[in-house]
Amino acid sequence: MDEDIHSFSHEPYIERYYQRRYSADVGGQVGNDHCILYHSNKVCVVTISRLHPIVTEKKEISKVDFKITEKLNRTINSISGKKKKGAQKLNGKSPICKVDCSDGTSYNLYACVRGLLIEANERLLETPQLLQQCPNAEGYFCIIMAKLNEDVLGTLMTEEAYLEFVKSRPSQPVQEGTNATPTAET
Amino acid sequence: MTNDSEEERISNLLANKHICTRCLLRFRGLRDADVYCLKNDEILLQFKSFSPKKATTVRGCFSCFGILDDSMAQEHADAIMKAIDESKFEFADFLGQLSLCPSFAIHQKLIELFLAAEGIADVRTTPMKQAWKWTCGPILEERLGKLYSMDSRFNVHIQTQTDSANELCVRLMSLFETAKAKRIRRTTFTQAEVNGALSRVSLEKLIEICGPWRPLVGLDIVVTLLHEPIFIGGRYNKLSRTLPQSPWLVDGERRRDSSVEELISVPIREWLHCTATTFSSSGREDVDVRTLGRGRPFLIECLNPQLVNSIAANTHRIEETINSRTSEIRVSYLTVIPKDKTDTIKIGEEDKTKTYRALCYCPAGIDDGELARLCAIGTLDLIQKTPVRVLHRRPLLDRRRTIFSMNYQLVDERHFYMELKTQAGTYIKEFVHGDLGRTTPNVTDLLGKETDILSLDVLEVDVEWPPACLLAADKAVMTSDDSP
Repeated sequence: MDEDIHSFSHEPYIERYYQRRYSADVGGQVGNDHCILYHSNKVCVVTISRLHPIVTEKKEISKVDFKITEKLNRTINSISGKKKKGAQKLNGKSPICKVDCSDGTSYNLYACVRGLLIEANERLLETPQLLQQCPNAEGYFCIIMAKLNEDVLGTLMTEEAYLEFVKSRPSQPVQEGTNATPTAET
Repeated sequence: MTNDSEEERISNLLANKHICTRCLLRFRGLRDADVYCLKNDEILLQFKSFSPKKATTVRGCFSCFGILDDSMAQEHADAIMKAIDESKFEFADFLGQLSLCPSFAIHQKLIELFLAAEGIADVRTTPMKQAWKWTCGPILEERLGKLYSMDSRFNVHIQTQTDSANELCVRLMSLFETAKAKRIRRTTFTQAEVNGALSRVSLEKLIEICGPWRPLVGLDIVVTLLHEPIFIGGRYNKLSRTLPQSPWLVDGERRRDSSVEELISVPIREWLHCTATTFSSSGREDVDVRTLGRGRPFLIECLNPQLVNSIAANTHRIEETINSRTSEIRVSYLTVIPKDKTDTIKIGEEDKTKTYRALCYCPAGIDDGELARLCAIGTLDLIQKTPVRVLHRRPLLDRRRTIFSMNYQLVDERHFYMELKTQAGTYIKEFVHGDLGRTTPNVTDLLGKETDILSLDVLEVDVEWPPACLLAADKAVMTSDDSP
């Protein structure tokens, strides 16, 4: 009322709070690209990239399974306190979940970041389609608190580098996703 | 009560043992305050049974190291006066507190065991601290020109130290320590440990430890002046969107050179001449959020304040000082809060209501009808997972919070203001954009379109503060051009 509404940043909150980084062909599977939303407080929200075949080909997802072994299930992760005591420890190659699609393809999704597992997105158990519908937001599959001296921004690909990589990648027919394309170079 | 003949015996037994007059009275079990505060000569006159050669004014009494001696009391009063003069303390009365180093307990035990061994059945010694209070209290009252009072908020603390203290303790404790403890070679012991050892030690051993009856020297004192904390409370408005509430440090470095806490605390510290304060408030707001309306309640505890006299009458002057130094905050309703009313600022924190105004933005556009339908929902129960933006310093929890009411004001086809009345502890920003679906329900879901929050203001913190009864009294003192 007393302030000029246009003086405020109109960037979507995801762009305001997070910096995007990418990891391509994760787990050795071509096209299995992940997007890591890195918050300034070192918390990382990991999603699949908008250029992932699940998104670009609008695949129907039949199941998301967070069970890794008999004893290890990413949704069974009881944490207490600010220091997240009891959280599962992860490194970049730790598997988080397996995604099965109705067309028979399946993808293993990985942590990409070293740190503590804060949350596996249980909404994907009931509504697996979220992965495909909101790849860069509600469809996240896990949240990781990166280790203090982990250089997430330095070791993972920037938006530019990722797009370059994708262009030069053979076979995959790439369509630019319809979801909000970030314009700011971070 | 020791009977007269026993008292005679005690006097005789301690006759040449370098025990001062007042300690003699103590071992005889005398508890008459009026006697202790008499001058030494007068005491001797009163107790004709003390013949001059039996009671002596010894400097360095074997029991009290001289602390109950007339001239030593004057010296200590000098030291206290000096400490007071060098400070800025204002006080109407005082409480003297004596801390005795272990030497006193050790010597006391020796004398008691000695008397017991000589057949004195029941030695009911008057405690040293009590005797000191009766002896030195009046002397200090005279020197300071103020009353000694048990209710006083100003403490004169005297810590005694003797050269022999460590030595005595080590010798005593080594009689009882285990082999393991011996290896560690401790030199300091707790009061409880020393008392425990004293209850088990024998007279012979104690005599070895303390040495022969003789005048004792080497008593030093350290004077500390302490005033009980004073509490000052009020409400603050935060008018800046770049000012943190408390000092903001990242990896040891300041992010911004000021904070609400400092802008309020520093002038108060200056007025009271106190070095440390603690700041608490009824909730907090983010750096980029303003606090309007009456403002947010806060409380400052001022530790060891010195200039206490003028504070109550001058709270509005302090308010003016704070407000004139910055345009980023504004303080009002500043008043002294009695200690027993200080917890009302935190009580029922979870129950309180807060009112906010959020400037929201829908890139896809929004119309009156959609907003009307949203606000018509009325009360909403939310489940908010800990927002990602605070996950690094808060535990992961599901929080149940209630939105009591919503109102809107359309600004243009993409912008609108929303006024919300919510339960304390609700994360408003997350309620608007949804925090990746981790707050449900949320405005984005309810409207069915991306909604972002551009700015947030706190309009009202619904807490009764300062406590009503104080405010009424204060109004009589305030001038007419005071705060809203």
